[in-house]
Amino acid sequence: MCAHGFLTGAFLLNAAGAEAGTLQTIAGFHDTMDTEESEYVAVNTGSGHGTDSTGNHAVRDSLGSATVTAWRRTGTPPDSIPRERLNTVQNTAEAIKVFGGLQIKDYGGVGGLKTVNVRSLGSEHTGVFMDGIQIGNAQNAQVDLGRFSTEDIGRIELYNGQGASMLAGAKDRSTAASIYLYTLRPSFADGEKFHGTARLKAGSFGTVSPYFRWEQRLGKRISASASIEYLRATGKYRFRCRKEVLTDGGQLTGYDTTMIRSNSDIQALRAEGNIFGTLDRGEWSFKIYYYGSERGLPGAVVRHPETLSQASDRQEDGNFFVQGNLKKEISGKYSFRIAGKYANDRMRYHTDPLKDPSAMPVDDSYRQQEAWLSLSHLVRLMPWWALSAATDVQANILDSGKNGFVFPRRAGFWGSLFTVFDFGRLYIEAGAVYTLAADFYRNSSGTAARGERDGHTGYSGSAARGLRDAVSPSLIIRYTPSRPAGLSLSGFVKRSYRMPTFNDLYYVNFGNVSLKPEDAMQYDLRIDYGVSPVRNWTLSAKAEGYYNNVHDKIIAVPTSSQFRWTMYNIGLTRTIGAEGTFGWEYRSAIKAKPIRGNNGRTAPGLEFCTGMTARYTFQRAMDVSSPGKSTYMGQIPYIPRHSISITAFAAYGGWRMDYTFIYTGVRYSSSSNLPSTMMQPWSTHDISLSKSLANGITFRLSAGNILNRQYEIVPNYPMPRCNLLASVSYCF
Amino acid sequence: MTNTHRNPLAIILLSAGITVSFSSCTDHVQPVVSHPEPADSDRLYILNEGQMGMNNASIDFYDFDDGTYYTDAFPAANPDVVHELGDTGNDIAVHDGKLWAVLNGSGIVEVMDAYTMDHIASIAVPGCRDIAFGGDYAYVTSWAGAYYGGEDRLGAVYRLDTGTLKVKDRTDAGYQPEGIAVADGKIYVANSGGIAGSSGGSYDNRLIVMDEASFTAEKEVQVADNIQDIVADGNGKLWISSPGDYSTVHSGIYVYDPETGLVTVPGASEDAEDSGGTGNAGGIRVSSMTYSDGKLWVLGNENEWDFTPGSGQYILYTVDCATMQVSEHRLQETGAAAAKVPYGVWVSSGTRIFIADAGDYINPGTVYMLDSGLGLMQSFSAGVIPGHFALFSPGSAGE
Repeated sequence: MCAHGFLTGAFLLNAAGAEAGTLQTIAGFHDTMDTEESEYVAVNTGSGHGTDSTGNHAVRDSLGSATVTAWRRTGTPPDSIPRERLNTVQNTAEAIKVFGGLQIKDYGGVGGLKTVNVRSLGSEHTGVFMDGIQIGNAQNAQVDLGRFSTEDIGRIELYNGQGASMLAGAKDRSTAASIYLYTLRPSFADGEKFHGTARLKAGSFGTVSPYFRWEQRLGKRISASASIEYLRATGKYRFRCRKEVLTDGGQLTGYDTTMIRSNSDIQALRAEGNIFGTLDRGEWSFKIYYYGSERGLPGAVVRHPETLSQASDRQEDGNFFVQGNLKKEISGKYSFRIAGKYANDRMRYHTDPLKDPSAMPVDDSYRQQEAWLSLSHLVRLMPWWALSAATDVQANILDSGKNGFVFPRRAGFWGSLFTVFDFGRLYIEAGAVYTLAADFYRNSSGTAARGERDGHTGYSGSAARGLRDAVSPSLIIRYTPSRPAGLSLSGFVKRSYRMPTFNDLYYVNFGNVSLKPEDAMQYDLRIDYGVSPVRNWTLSAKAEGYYNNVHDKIIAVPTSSQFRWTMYNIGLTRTIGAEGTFGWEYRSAIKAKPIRGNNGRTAPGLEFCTGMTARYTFQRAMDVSSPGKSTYMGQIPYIPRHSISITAFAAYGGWRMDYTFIYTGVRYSSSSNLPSTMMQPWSTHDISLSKSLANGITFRLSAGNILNRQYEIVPNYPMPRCNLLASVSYCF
Repeated sequence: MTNTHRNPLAIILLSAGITVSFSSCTDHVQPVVSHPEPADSDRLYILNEGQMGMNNASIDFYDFDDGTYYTDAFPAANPDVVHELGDTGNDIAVHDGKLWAVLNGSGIVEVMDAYTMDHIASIAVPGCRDIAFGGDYAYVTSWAGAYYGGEDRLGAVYRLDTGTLKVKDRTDAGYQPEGIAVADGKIYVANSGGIAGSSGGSYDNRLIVMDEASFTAEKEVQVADNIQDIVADGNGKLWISSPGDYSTVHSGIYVYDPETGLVTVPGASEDAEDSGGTGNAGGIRVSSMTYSDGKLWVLGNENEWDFTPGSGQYILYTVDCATMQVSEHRLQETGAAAAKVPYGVWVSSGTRIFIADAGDYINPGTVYMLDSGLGLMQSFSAGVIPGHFALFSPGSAGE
């Protein structure tokens, strides 16, 4: 791929089709979708679309290049992870861990919860989007990235402070940070009607995972894909707990024990179907998605007698959604997009009191439904001036059989208006999003009584309402001086809010209906530089600094009653961050050969390609909620001050090797930064090696944490040590 | 101690030679630890509950002789015990020269030498809560009793042999039994029913009276919803606390007299039955209590239904167990005024009052030591959620 994210976005934004999702052009969409992936085909073993591609765009060109007309988004380019790297990881969480400025909170193992927190704002401020449409969770605003396989993903991008597209929905534009997943699109050479991929993967943690994908050309302008993936794992792994201490007498003592993670098995099935179509100066797509899983929750590793059984907690999930999207340019002056989604998510959590002598009987089920509709417009008033407006509406429903449940419903509205000036070297985007959330819920007797006592009007009676709104303004500026070429300066200021979740507001005996939205303010400045000093070589660098603060942060606090905790808007955090990225890549001039089965998976070529990207992040994320307390000015839990990622690859003749290094510095499990809350730094090295044959078969061996380091991201949730996964796939 | 400059309390700790040795599942070398000195004078053990799932329960001790306060003594005394003391401590007691810690999250009753804190045995008791002693046995309440299907699991009392340090047997209790006391050949068990009660169902309200010799339930007495702690006052009466239901029934103290079989409320003109179950007519609010020298010391929050952080109005009550006379002091006006969430109280023969402050329940709490006039003598930075105390007097090993 060579398209190590930074190169991708940082320069050559003009490369048509490089970022269909970022709305490279609002017009002439036709084929940009297809070509985007074709490009990956052509460049298979490396070669990013960010380079000065002499042969890279051959395939795309053969399909007819997009007419770049109306509008080009030249906002801050995103960091991105291309397809080739996605092939080497097991899930989205693992893929994005290399991004600067974000932390993956990983409870370890195949089935362990994996959420993302960008720039210490909190995971609730990070939107995760599938093809430009947000993956929602009104219950707790957590998206488990471990559930999103990378198998049908074409690319992942990280945006800070802005939506990915000028035609993005208003809700997109309201999030503080966004992770965009783009579905892998079918691509066909002339005369091709279909492609298929079959894959079998197996390895550590008792993992077995078959996968099958079919791509069909349905017409000149319509193509479809369908895929199904099954995953089964015992989830068992050995972890080591070791302590060495010196006694007064200089004697070495302590313990060193190896244990096995148990009740961590998982079974999951994912199936999806996609239809992609192009129109005259437009495109549309439709997606249907299902993910179902049943897993054990192994719990924290604490002192526990061997004679007692381990945790028996189980969780079942069923996540279903359908979504569609249509973008079209009506004239050179006007384009629009209409998009919609319906999601139905079920979750059941239960224990097994028969098996586990210490388990209390619990069997809780929840069902969430979400419907969303968005209409956005882009009007080009002048060659250098455009307006972008969007309106989104959404309904959320949460049901449960739990005692005391209040059956919350939320009607949401987002309206955005942005003005965009593009004077070539100077780009300015300014506007605001208005967010309104109206909640309706039933009172249970206990909470009603409490509400009355708290003096919240409108909280008594059988039905209750809550109304919240916020305005999120933002400003993006980007300046590209003429010399030196490849240099750009950009920055943004953005205020964003996150609405309290249903759990924050209504959780039995825990929620607080009077919560305000959480308020995040971000300031960011960056310099990007990219250059090709010698033929076949490209270098790129980024330096970025930011400051953000979160007011009214919603945190669980013990109340004056020692037996009860409640959510309150009393958190205040400040973060100063700096990120530096440096990347280079080399690609020999020999053109890649288009080959059969070029659906983005394999394409052995003789081109030699290699590259590396290093990212460094500094974050001083302070908890400044309570002056005078031991937490004051303490580093926010789980945020390292220093973190590093290095990715590298080399590809030649169908061989490809990927390497990933991650270092996470000292962190604390509490804002009270004491020796007892300190968490050790950790680092991992991962390697993946693959060989693609001309007949469409690819063998891959991925080794994670090859130095067998024992580490934790969340206290008492040990991460796996060295693990291996092997796969073989056949593309036809 | 990196927070010394922020937390003046930490300075006090430095004199006590604190080392921290929490460990986790990583492989790294921990710092040097010194074994705490064996007890040669009265020592107050303090159990810090720790945060659930964090495996950071810990034991501190205060030495009455030299006035030092030692934090997190267990790993220092037992560096080779895997996973240190364990998860979510809930009770601590001294009996027969041994120190007993009940670790709810770990399902372990840890038995140590009370002089040295050296590990002797760990006894597996799932869902263990509180401990009391009688004859050759320790009795431990547990939430993990028999399960007969449905939405509730019965609690149990486990009987541990103090000689072999093994579980001898167990018997059914009510729902989520908490406090336990042994007096005059009977075992008294307070059942809270806290799980169903806190999620919209009904609390348990039964005090179960068991025969100590046969270890079987004799009768049940309905005391109040959600009863928690029990102390025996030495005059044959049982003092029982209930935190109420947090919205319609206030917390309160109830007195059970086994002679008459009646439940009364101190400070009230009528008994609990007359108050119609609407709360404690005596007006004593309780979150924790302790018995010392004919008096019951109670910590409570007058403003207990205001769930705004910092809204607590804490009162320290003393109840004369013979006369049932109640006197009260606002904590604000005592040396423990700085306590944010008073979580535990202990009194040494009327001379010193210890108040444990849980703070924010995540970070290290504070233990305040007051004199008999309730003036602050000293305060100590403790572990996470300090709340339970046990005195060890080396002179009288029986305690």
